Amino acid sequence: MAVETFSYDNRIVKNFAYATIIWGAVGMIVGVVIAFQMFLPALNLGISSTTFSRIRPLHTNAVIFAFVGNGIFMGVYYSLQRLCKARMFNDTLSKIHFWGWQAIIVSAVLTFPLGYTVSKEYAELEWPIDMVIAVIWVVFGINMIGTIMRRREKHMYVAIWFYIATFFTVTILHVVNSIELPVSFLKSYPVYAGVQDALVQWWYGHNAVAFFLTTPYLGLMYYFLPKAAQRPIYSYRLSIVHFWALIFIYIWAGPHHLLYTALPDWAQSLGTVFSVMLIAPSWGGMLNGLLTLRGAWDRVREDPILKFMVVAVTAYGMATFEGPMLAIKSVNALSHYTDWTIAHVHVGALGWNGLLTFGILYWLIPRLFNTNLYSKKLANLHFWIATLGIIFYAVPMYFAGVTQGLMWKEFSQEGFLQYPLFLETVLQIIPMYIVRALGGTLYIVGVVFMIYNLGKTIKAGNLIENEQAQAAALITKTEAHGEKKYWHRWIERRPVQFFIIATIVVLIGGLVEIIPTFLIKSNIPTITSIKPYTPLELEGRDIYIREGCYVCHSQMIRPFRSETERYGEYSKAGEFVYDHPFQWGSKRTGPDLHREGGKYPDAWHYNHMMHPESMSPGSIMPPYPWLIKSDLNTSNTAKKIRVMQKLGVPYPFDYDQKALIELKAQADKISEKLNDTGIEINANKEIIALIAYLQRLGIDIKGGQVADF
Amino acid sequence: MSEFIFDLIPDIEIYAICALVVFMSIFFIVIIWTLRLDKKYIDAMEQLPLDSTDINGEYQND
Repeated sequence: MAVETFSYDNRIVKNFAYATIIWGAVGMIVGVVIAFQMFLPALNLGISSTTFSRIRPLHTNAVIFAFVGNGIFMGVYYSLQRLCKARMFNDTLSKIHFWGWQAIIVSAVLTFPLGYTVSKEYAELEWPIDMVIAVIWVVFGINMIGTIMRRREKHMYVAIWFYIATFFTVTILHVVNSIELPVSFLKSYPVYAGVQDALVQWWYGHNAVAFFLTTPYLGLMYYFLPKAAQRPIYSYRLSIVHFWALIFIYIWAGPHHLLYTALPDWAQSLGTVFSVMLIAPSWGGMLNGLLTLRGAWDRVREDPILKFMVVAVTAYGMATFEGPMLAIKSVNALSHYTDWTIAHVHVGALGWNGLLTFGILYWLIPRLFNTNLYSKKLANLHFWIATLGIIFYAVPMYFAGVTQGLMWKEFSQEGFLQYPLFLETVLQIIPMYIVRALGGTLYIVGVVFMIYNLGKTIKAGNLIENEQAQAAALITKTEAHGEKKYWHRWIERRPVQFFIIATIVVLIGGLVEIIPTFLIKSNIPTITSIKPYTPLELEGRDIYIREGCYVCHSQMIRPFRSETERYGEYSKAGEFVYDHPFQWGSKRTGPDLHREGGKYPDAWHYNHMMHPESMSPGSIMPPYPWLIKSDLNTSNTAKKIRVMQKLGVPYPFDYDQKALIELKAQADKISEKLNDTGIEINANKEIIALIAYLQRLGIDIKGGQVADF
Repeated sequence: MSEFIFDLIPDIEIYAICALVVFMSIFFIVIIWTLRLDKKYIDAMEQLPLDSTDINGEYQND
């Protein structure tokens, strides 16, 4: 058999490694900043670009797509070449992938603080950037699939199945969730509305967790943990079973983000059942990782890399047990919108993704640079600081979540809300926010140690750009007559068939949940009193989206007495039919706003936006003074109406022609009312539009009038 | 927002049940097939990440 000599591309691995470290630091710094802003809102320095609500998406996108994303590519480019015994398919594609991905991240850094956002979590980037993501993702796919097709190793190791499933599923998720109609270069509306938008968004959102934060990292675990431990994975059979189970079941779990909302009951139940079932395949992965070290636990004591990996896999197990528990309706009734969700997310993100990335970096960098790690002591110190940081992050958030959830629900003996003022529940958990910020700071201190340690390591070594390797050429032979053929061996040798079957498995859950929601009218009962937003209210809504108000405020009142007493009638599916995008939110740092319309006079809203503490003493909401200084941009109002008409919103024919006239008339009314209360404000300011939108919220079914002051 | 192809699908629950049945069937088939896999093949696959192809030999661990 001919032995071929070739080389592995280590340069691209190095590039992605550097990007992982840099963006990790950036994303985590932004995270620490917003953690401090939760109790020191003045930290936004009165600048619109640095408010919590605008830069929180910067943090989430940076840590998910920049830190974890580059980490995935670093690990995939290293492991795939060696598992396939082939160099990456095309060096130019590798470079395009790398620089294209960094350009996408930079575009997020530029657009989010400026308020360009679609407001769909982890999919906030506007439509031109979405298209670039699709192109670069396809480039990655061609490079990866091309490498697999020209491999010298016949069988595809389990890690490669996870990479394949990741690629195809993320493609589907991104394309389906990002279907938007543009209004202008950096503004668009999703084609989905209300309930349907919520379902598509959280089918995407949860599967971003599944197929971006979990499956590729399981693939990396299946490669790097055996490498670091110098022993094979515990059970290859278990990896086959848990892989197929995982990719099938995960897709169904999305509705667990929408329990007790206006999403149809049958979809909620599917989400709960499949989320609980998900414990099994998730723990299959965890056990496979941990049991790999059976009989070698003494090495964990000595080796910081194994420490990172073991705690990462343990955190994965914890998060994948907690997640299904949170998906049970009775638990979710307490936890939804609280900081318990934040705690859960960060056990997974800081523990599983963060620690595994650090372990891989500590293992990989010395090998790329043909040297030893500069300081094992410093790596150990990083491990302990990071672990402490996670504990200081998660534990206060658990306390905060349960405290807030219980306070929201508590009734006095007389049958009234014990804590009718939402602000009381926020002030109660401020000390926990302080400890959480300390936890995040500890975590990033560990990252600083890592940067120093790896920097010294790199300096002491030399990059082996093209690592020479040898392997026998792949010879395709037919099976010998009578030789037993197992179906999984058959599919592991045929990547194309593997792609197709994995894609079908992944699609089943999405199709069963999403198609009926769209096709069945009874899922979204019509409410005849619901009318489209006026042009001024639409502009106000876009300001609400731009400022990121959904980050702290929900617009979904659940059918609990504690919620209807506090906020008003619970939210109905039919109320959101014209909401492109939906604004249900997923966290209540501030109160729910769905029935805000008519609760307070216009002057209250004006004063609240300018100085939140003047209306709510002790409030942690930052002020928004630029809304009274900035003129409302109405250059696209008519176009917005036309786009909404295309999306099925029943504005009258030719309504776009009189949109500006109606906008001005409504704005003049609001401005006059404010002037009557002593607030001098022109009708053309942004605050007028936002007030119009806030006063519209939830009044269509209660027929409320705006309170006079 | 779009033209509906179907106005109403009666007994929609049957599709979710069918999908669950399909999944459980495939799951059990996969388990049975996996348990019947040849041990030598399993051992070979488990060793794949530990195979060294580099000419200069594996790097020393710390």
